[in-house]
Amino acid sequence: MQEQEMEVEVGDPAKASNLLRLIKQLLLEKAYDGVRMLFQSAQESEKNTRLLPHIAMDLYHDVCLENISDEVNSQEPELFDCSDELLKLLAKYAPLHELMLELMERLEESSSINVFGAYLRALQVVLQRQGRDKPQAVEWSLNSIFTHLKDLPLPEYLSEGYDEAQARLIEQNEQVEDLLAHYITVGLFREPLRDEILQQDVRTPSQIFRDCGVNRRNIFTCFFIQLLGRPLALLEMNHAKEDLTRSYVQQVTESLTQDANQFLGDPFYLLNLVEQRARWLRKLDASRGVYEMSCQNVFLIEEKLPLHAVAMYYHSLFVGNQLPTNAPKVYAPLFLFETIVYLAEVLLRQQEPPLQYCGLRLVEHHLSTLQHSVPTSSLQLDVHKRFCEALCKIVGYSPQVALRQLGIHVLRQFVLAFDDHGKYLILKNLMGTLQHGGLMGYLGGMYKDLVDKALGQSGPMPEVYSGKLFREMLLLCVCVLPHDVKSDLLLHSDRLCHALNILRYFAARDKNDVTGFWQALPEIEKELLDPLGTALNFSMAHYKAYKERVEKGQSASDDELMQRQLNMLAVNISNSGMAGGDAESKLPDIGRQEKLDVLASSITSLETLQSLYLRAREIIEQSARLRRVANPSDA
Amino acid sequence: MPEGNKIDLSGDGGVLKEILKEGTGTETPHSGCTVSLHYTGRLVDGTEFDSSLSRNEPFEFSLGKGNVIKAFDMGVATMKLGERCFLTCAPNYAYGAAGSPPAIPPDATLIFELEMLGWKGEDLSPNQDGSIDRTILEASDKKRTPSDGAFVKAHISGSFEGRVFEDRDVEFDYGEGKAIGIIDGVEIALEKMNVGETSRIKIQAKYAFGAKGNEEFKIPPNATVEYTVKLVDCGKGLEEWKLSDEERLAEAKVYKEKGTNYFKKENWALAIKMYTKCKNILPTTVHTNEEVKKIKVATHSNIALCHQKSNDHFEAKQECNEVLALDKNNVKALYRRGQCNLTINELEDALEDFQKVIQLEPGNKAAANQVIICKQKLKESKNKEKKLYANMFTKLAANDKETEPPRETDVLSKCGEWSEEDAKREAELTLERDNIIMI
Repeated sequence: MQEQEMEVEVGDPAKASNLLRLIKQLLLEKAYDGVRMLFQSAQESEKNTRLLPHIAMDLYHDVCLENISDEVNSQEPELFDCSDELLKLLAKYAPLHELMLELMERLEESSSINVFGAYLRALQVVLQRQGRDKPQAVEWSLNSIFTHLKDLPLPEYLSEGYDEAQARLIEQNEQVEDLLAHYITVGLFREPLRDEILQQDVRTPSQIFRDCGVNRRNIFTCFFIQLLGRPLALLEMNHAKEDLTRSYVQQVTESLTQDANQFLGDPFYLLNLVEQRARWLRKLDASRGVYEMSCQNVFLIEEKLPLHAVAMYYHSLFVGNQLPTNAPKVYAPLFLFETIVYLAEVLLRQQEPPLQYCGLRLVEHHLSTLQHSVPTSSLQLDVHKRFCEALCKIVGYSPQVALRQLGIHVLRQFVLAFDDHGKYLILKNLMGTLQHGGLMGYLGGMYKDLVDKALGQSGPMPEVYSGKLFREMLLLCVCVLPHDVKSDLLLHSDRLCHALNILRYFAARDKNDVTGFWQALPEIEKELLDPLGTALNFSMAHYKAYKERVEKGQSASDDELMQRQLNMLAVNISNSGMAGGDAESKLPDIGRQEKLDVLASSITSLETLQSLYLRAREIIEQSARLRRVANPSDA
Repeated sequence: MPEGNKIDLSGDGGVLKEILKEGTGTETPHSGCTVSLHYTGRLVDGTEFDSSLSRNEPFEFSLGKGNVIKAFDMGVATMKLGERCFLTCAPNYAYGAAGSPPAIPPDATLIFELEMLGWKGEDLSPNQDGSIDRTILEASDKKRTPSDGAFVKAHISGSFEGRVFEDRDVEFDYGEGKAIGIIDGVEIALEKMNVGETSRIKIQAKYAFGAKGNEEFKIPPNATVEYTVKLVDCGKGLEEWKLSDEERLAEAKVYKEKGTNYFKKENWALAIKMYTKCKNILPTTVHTNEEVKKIKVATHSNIALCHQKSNDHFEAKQECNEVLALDKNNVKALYRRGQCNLTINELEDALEDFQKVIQLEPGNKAAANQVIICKQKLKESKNKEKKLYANMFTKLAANDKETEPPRETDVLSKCGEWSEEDAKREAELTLERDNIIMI
């Protein structure tokens, strides 16, 4: 089909050339109003408009391209403005694809918001002329816009993470302000196009199913959602709940979300595709023509619709409260939850803390609205494991305090959302795979709390909190001394402290042996308590002797051991994948006083552990005596 | 409308259907189909809480996958093309005691007015071009699907123009189905099937028998074929959370058995693969569970033997090391490691292994023979070394007889004293300096 041209009578080429010369002359004379008169006055406009098709591209190259620049804008702003108006005018008459290609290039190279805006206004006109034809060209144009946006310079801390105070001031940063100004300009650009598409690109009654192919409406839908991803998503780590005013970020996000809602009709439509995208990665196969862009459903193509951007769309819908009132109300809550976990996992795997933050908030929102327990069968989906792994990585190693705090909260809520058997499986598997002692201890404490709650309820004890499964949890996950007597107690102190507290709790709480604790105790003593006591004695003696030698200046032979321990700590941080390059290097040698400080801290930790150990032993012995008194026949 | 005109779909009165307009034909959508319909949802007091008409778009969803509330899935599955009906849904088939605030209150009975516009099969093809179309015949409530490399057990029945050309049980590792004649379209479809599910799959030529067709099955070139596939079972993920230790042990035994089957067929590569899956899936209670330990020892031992059969003696040695780490007095492992060491010329280590076997089993004649062989080889090796060293010393001795080159002349002997002229110049310089001082 031929390109859509304005239906105007074509004028004389010779007169067109004269018009071009006249325009140039008037511009040279700074007679900008005169230029405008050529196309605005009743006497001149009709005649001159007919001539524009002949000279549009020449006018573009000779005038617009030369004058739409920052330099001209600063030195001769009226010339810039006039050229901008000419560009918009000629966009109605210039050869469609030739100008489109020019505009794509200029947009990507725009040096400022003013230049960007000028070319964007022209592109708006061109795309309106384009209509529904050649959606591929529309896509390329939109890609040029997005390319420019994502290449805008931004503060490094946006990718590295920022705290609450920085979040409140984020829009005052000059680069951020410029980015948002660009997004607002894009909003003005897409508004008339959006309205036109909503009127024209409507499914006919004979179309039973949604057209998921490359068409204008779908391309714009992908564009709206793509814009919600990076770099805009990096600004989302704010605390909107605490602010009464709507930030520019919120305004931009809401605008994009609402447009996407209108184009999709059913905003949950993309959720139906999430499992297909996240669970079963599309395998490319050149021999069968399966390429990245060959899929006939554009919503399945990562390049057109990045999955992290889809996640941000649903973050806006749910967390940002942008769900339209006419959204479908027939979806199953479990389906929504599982799909959101897929999307949250995608966000948690991103490197940037702001995206991780959004992932946490997205899951948090859904956990807070779940009305029923998640069945254990849901754990047949691998996504839960991946989600927990990504979450624990953040909780254990994120350099962002706020992320770690929110993460531990979400982790707890996530576990508690499942039925009893599901809770057990998640806790057991996490403790069986994690390496972070503090987190393992916390999870063990969660299990202890769950058992405590179950003990306080009437009715039979759930099997996951008593008997064989309880025993397995304690022996395999909680009461573990990794290397027996040779275990590095300091390295595992968090975990061991929690284990001892848990033992002490059960010894005091479950005197009637409802859980089976007392039946498991002999093995716990053999596997943990006895070797731990021995290890504590060895370690305490060793560190005290070391400290004495340091005080006497006789510690050369032990320094290597300390250095190795410090390096081990550095390696652990490095292995988490969260630390930067600095962690790769050895920690520096430390002086005598520093050695003493480290040793004092180590001894204090050991003393704390020893205290807990002795206390646990004491409680166990006391409770055992009480049990014997209460049940002398069992004794 | 009298209650008698309502059809009880759930059997307990929870989902009642009242047909307003009969649909055409006899077909109804199957599970897995993408269904398109219009609906309007109301509360019993007539309050409308949701309608696809307000969005000007038919509502589309995947039937039978739990994406929508139970009643919706149940009701839509009974509708014919063009049918209109009312669906009355009790709370426990809708949003339950909690409701869905704010639009749907707690314990709400919902009434949906539905109009079936159409349905289509699920497109499983990578390009979404309809080349692999799936219809679920028998759904499963399980969510487990084959992952890459997972062991798959299925029944497949292929037909062309109504004629069945193959009908068999198959077992293979996902991704390797081609080895046993499974066409790509079936394997691609299996990835998205739940255990226990039966599906009908229409497969176009490029994912079936292609431009060549299949002479054995009398399939012409570029033919579309149809398969009915039942996924009987598939291997669980190596880190599958659902597994308890007992289940892990049971699954490990399955893989061990598969490995043994491949071993008997002398398919060493697949045997190793199965045994490796076995050892990876075993629970981590090896130090406290004798049965687990026993299986792990046997698995490593079998892998070692497979590597030996494949002439991968270094790999075999590593597996023996794993066995001995668990059971340091395992005679079989010691003997095998000795064999490996002997083969890769680690003679001292080999001798040590065989001697230890004899210590543990004094009557082990095979080990005794190996000891003799090792000693002989060691002797031969030492003799070779002696000859090598002897030749080296001979050469060195010969070199020592060469005459030393003459020493170079002392360079200082060539240095001369300053000449008389030089001495005179030096005196003049001194004199000039004295004049300056005087000034």
